[in-house]
Amino acid sequence: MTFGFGLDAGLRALQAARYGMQTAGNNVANANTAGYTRQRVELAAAYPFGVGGTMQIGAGVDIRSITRLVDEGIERRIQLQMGMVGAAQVDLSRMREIEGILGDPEGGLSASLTDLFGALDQLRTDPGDRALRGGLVQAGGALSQEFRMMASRLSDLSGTTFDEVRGLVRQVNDRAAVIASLNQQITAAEATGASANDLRDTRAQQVKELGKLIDVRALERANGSLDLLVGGHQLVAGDRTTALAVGKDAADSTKLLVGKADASASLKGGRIGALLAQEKAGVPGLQSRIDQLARNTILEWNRAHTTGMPASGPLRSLTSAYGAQDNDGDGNRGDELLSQAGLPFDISKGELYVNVTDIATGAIERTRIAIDPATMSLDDLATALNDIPNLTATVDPTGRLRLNAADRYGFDFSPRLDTAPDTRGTFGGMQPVLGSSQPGPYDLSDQTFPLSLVVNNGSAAGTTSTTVMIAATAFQDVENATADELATAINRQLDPNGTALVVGGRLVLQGSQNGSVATLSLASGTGPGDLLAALGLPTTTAIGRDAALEVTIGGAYTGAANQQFTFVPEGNGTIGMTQDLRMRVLDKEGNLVTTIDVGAGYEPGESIAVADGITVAFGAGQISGSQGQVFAVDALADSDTTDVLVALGLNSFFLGTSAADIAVNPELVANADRVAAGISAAAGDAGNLARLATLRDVDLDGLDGTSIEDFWSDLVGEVGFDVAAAGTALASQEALMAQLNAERESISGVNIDEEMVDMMRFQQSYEAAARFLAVAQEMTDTLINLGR
Amino acid sequence: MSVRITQGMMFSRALADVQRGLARSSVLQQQIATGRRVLRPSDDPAATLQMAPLRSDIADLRRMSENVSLARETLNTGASALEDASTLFQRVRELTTQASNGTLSQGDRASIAAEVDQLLGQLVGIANSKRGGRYLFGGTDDDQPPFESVTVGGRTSVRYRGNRETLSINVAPGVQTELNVAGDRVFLARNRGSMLITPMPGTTATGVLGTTGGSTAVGRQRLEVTWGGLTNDRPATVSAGNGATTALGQLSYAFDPVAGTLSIGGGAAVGIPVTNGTFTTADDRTISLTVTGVPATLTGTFTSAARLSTDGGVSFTTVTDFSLSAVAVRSATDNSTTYFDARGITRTGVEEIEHVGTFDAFTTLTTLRDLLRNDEGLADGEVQARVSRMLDAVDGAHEAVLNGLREIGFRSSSMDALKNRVEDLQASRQESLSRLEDTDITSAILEMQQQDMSYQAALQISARVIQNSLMGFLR
Repeated sequence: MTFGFGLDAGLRALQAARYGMQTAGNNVANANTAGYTRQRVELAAAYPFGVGGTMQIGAGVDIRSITRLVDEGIERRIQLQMGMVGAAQVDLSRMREIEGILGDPEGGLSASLTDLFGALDQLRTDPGDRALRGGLVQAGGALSQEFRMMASRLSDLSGTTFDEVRGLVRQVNDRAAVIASLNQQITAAEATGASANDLRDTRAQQVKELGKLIDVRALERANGSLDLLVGGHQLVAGDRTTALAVGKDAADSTKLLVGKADASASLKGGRIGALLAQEKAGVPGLQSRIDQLARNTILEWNRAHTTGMPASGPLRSLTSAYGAQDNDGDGNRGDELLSQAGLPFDISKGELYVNVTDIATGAIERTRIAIDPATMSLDDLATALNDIPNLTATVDPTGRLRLNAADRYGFDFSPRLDTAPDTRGTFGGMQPVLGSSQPGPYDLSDQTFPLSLVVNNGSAAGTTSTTVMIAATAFQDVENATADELATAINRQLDPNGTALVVGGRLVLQGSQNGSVATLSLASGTGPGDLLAALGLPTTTAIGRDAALEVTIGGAYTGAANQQFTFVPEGNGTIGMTQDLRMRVLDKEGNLVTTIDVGAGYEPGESIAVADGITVAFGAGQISGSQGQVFAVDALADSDTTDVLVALGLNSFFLGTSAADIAVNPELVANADRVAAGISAAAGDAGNLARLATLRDVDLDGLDGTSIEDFWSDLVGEVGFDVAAAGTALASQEALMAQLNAERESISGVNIDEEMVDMMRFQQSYEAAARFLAVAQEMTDTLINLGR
Repeated sequence: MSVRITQGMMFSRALADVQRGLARSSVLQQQIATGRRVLRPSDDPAATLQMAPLRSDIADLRRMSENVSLARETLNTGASALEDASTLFQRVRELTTQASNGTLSQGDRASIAAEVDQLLGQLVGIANSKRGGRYLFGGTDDDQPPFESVTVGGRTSVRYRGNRETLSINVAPGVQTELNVAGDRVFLARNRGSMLITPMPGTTATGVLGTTGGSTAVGRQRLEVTWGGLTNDRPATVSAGNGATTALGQLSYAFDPVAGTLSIGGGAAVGIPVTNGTFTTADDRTISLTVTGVPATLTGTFTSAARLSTDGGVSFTTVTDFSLSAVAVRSATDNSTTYFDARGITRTGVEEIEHVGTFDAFTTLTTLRDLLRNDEGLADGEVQARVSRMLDAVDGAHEAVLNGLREIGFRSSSMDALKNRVEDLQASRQESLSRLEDTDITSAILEMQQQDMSYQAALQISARVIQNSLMGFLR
C-alpha cells in the first residue's frame, strides 16, 4: 500500500461527480436552446494497480470524455426536411398570391365575362340604342382592364423573385461565413483530441437553418470541418467560402451562381429552389394560359365583329390597326407577303367579300377577293381592293392598309344578303337579255378560231349588228373556256352595243337599249361548229321591258358554308298568272336546291322561302327561261374565311394579342356607333350581336376545346386545387418535420427530470467520494501515529 | 419511435395542438361572419368549378327576366296600338253603315269623308307607333316610320318601307320571342281574288275582261280605254281620221267599188273618198277614217288599236294584238301593274275595276273616303250602293288587325307564364349556388362550440402536464 493512494482515487471521484453535476447543469441551462444536444460525461474505471503479483486493485474512476448524444442520420434528415418545408412554404404563399390575383370566385374576370355577354344580350333588345352600345364598349373595356391588371400583377409577382432570391442569398452567404469560421474553431479545438461539443451544436444549427433556404449537401472531413455543396459546387470548404450570387439568364429569369458556376438547374428544395421553380414554371404557365384566353377571345370576337355592320351604316374610311413589318429589310413594307408581314394573327387561304354600297340607292356591289397569304403581298391585297369601283386602297409608309370609299359610297365586309341582287338587270331589267342555259366552263374545242359571234342590238331607231371575233388566245384552255374569259373578250369588241356579263357562272348578253322596243338576238358566225349551241345561248330574239321586274331577297342565311344561289325561270310566263310557272334555284355546284312556284296563285311581292333561311319576292311581270334570264345571290356564312380583317385590325372590337395588351379599339370608345351590331344596315338588326352571343357557348379549338367562360373557370378551379394541394403538402411536410424533431428530441433533447436524477446521483456520489477521502485520511493518520 | 419524452417536446406539441385548434376556429369564425363557406377557390376547388356556371346562369336568368318584362311592355304597347286600330275600325264600320243606309246629302257624306280622312291619318299614326324611339311595326328597319302615305294624282296610297325581319330576344333558356311585328301583315293584309269590272254608270262596257293573279294594283281603279289609232294591217287607202272613234279591235271592211262606198263592221255604207268620215258598225260603234280610194283587196279586216290607262292617261299601254289574254297596264300614280284580258275589247269607254280581296286597312279607308267624297259626281243611290259594298272590306281589314292583336296578345300573355318560369329557375339556381357557397350557420356554430371546448381542454391539460416535473416534488 502506497502512501496517498486513496487520496488520488478520491480526488478523481470528486472530479467525476463535479463534471457530472456541471454537465447536468449545462443540460438544464440549455434545455430551451435551439439545436442544443444533450451532453453526457463518459466515465470508465481507471487502470488498476497490480497487487501482490496476482491481483489487481481498482484505481478509481477515469473521466473519458464529455460526449453529445446525437444521431447524425436524423440530423441529416432534419436538414433536408427543413429544405422541403421551406419550399412548401414558398409554394403555398406563391399560390395564395396567384389565387388572390385571379380574383375571388364572385368578381374578377368571370364577372367581367358575364358582364360582357350580358351587355351584349342587353344591346340585342335594342340594337339602335346608343347608351346600350356604349355599355357594350364599356364592358369590353372592363374585361380588357381585368386582363391587363392580371397580366401586370402576375409579371410583378414574377419580377419579385429576383429581389427575394437576392435577399435569401445574402442570408445564405452570411450563414456560410459563420459555418466556415466555426469549422476553423472546431478543427483548432479538436486538434488536441477534445470534442468541441457546443461549437458543433452551433454549426449543426446553422447548417439546418441554411437547409431551409437552399438545398445543400454536407460532408464532414476527418479533421471535423464540414464542407457544404450547392448543386455540386462547393459553398464552404473548410474555413473558406465561395459566395453565392444571383443574376439573370437569357430568358430574363433569375439564376443562381456559386462563384461562376450556374447552380440553378440542380436546386431541388429550399426556399430559393422553390422560388426559382415558380419563376420558371408556375407563373409563366399561368401567364401563357391567360394569354391564350385573351388571344382567343380577341380573335373570335373580332372574327364576328370585323364582318359586322356598324350602327352608323357602311364605313366611309378605315385604317388598319396593324401594319406590315419590313421583314426583308428593303425599306418597303407593302411588298411583304401576308404570311411574312409580322401581323399579329395568322391569315389563312380563303376568300374575303367586300361590299360597296351606294348610300343613296342602297345598291350593293359585292366583290370576292381570293387570298393566299403565301403568294399575296399586302400591296397585292391593296391593288385588289383598289380595283373595286368606288373604293380606294393604299398601303401607307407604316405598312397600314388605308381604305376610303368614294363620295356617296360606303363599304363593309358583312355577309349580309343583297336584298336587290338583280342590279345588272339580267333577270328583270329593262334591257333585253339572252343568257346561256348552263354555267361555264364551255367546251369550244370543236369550234374554228377565231370564234365569230353576231350580236344584233335593236332599238326603235334600228338594229346594230356587231360581229365579235375571239381568238383562241383569249382562253387558257379552249376545252374549258370560262364565262369570265368569254365576257372579257366579248366586251372588248361589243361595247357600247351591248354588254356581256357573268351571272352565277353563266354567260349573259345584254342589249344596250331599254323598253319593249329594244331587241337582242344572236347568231353564230361562219365556220363549222355552232358557237351558240356550244355556249348554250338561245337563238330567239329577246325583247326589253317597259318596267323592271323587281326581285327582293329577304331573311337571313343560316347555312354553314358560303353559298351562291342561282335563280333561273323554268319556262316562260307572267308572274302570278301563268299556270305552273316555276323558278329553279341552283347552288354553287349547279345542283338543284329547290323549285319555287311563282305562277298562278302567287301574289307578286309575296315572300317565298327558298332555302337556309332565305326568302325571295318577285314583282309583277313576265319572265323567260328560254331567253336565259338569270340572277344570282351570294349567301355568305362567313365573309372573311381568311382572318385577314382580324390580322390587319380592320373594323375590330378588341385590339391587342395577349392579356397584357388587350384593349377595346379606341375608335369604338370614341364613337359607339362603330359597334357592329347588325349584319344589314337596318337600325333594328341585331344579327351580328346574335353571332357574337353564340361565342359564349361555342367550344373553341384555340382554347383546348372549351368555351371562353369554361376555360377561365377551369383555370380558377385548377389554381384552387393547386392551392389546396400546396396547403396539404405543407401540412404533411410540417408533420414530417415535427416527427423528425420529436425523434431528435428523444435522443438529443434535455429531460429535466432526468437531469434532476443525474444531479442527485452525482451529488450523492460526490458526498460518498468526500467521505472516502476522509476515511483515507483517517487511515493515513492511523499509520503515521503507529510510528510514534 | 422512442419512448424518451422531453419537456421541449411537450411544449412544442402542446403549442402545435393549440395552434391547430386556433386556426380551425379562425376559419369557422370567418365562415360565420361572412356567411360564405367558399371565399377563395382553394377553400373548395370542386365547388368553385360548379359555382362558375351557376353564377353565369343566374346572371343570364336575371337578364332574361328583365327581357321578359321588356318584351311584355313592348308587346303590350303594340297590343294597345292595335286595340286603338280596332276601335278605329269600329268607328269606320259605324260611319260606313251610316253612309250606306240613310238618305244623305252630298254635304253629309262629305263630312263623313272628312272624318274617314282623319281616321286614315290616325291609322297611319297607329301603324307608325313607337316605343322608346323605335317603330314597332317596321321589322328591323325600325328607325324610320314604316308606313308612308303618298298622294299622287288625287290617289292616296300607303306604302310599307319596313322589312319582314324580326328582332328576337332571349326570354328563357332556349326560348326566344320576337319583339317586333312586320306591319305589312297587319295593315297591308290582302288576299287577292278576282277582278270585278263594271262600266261607269251610263256607259257601255268596253268588253275588257279581268285576269286572275299577277296584278299588284289594290282597291278600286278606273280603266280608261281609248282609241290608239290604226295599225299597219289597214287597207292602203285608209288612214285614221281625227273624229271620235269608239270602235276597237278587229274591224271588217267591205269596199263597193261600183257604188264608191265603204262599210265597216257590217254597218252603213259611207261614200268615198272621204276625209274624217264617221263610219258606224252594225253594233253601233263609230270610227273616224279618211279614205282616199278603193284598194286592191276589197274586203278583209284591220285593227283599231286600244290604249289602256289606269292613271287617267298619264301612262298607257297600247293594244294592237287583241288575242292577248294578259296585257300589263302600269299606273304611274302608285307604281302598280294590272293585267287585263284584251280579247273581248270592242269599244272605248271607262270601266271601274275592283280588286276583290285587296282591301287592306289603308286601302279600305282611302277607298271609302274617295267614294264618300264622290269627286266623280255619281248619283246618291250609286254612292250608297258602293259604300254598302265596302262593309265587307271594312270587316276584312278589321279582322286582319284583330288577327295581329291576337298574335301579339298571345305572345304577351305567354310572357307572364315565362316570367314565373324564369324566376323559378333563378330561385332554384340561387339555391344550388347557396348550397355550394354559403355557410351552414347551424353546423358551423355547433362546430365552433366544439372547437372552443377542445381548445380550452387542450390549454388546461397542457398547462397541467407542463407544470409537472420532478422539481415540484424535490422541495
